[in-house]
Amino acid sequence: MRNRLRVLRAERGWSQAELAARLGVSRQTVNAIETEKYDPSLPLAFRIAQLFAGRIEDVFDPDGAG
Amino acid sequence: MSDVTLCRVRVPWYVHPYFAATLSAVGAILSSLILKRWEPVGALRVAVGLLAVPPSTFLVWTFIRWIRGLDELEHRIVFQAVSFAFVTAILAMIGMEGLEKAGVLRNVGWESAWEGMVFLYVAGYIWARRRYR
Repeated sequence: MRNRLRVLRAERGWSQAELAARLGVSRQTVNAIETEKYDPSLPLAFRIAQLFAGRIEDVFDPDGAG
Repeated sequence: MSDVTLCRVRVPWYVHPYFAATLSAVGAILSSLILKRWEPVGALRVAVGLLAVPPSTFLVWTFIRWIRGLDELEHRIVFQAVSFAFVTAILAMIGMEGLEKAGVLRNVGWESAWEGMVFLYVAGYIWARRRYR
């Protein structure tokens, strides 16, 4: 699934490690989501959307092939 | 923060799976050594034979405790590693059993199967972890 996580993170000037700490996951998890090797669970997708003050579909594109 | 953040969970050394694995190995070695060298009899022989069971149970507990502290991607990696080890070990055992029945292999040494599973788990863990790098 395509996502805008890297763009949103860059807009806030956060490192992957910083974002990982805010989400309570490992840096590898953030990297795997950004590189679209891993689709997060629904609870984590909600946490990501809430962190960026948006909706899940603002971050993740369900129609995009991952 | 370093690149290797997979094992984020900091646990005291005495409940770390590495320490528990060491205890388990020491238990297994001691058991074999005592049985071979002193050849105890009766209840003592049973107790010595089962010497590795308590530390191995402790190892399982520390492993489960460690897994519970991981995040969802890390859970997936561990699950894939365990699945790889389980399926590959079953296939290897079926193959080796067949070769043993056919007389191609003799004295396969099934007591070492768990060591093979640990090796396969480590191999599966490295493979799964690389997949998500």
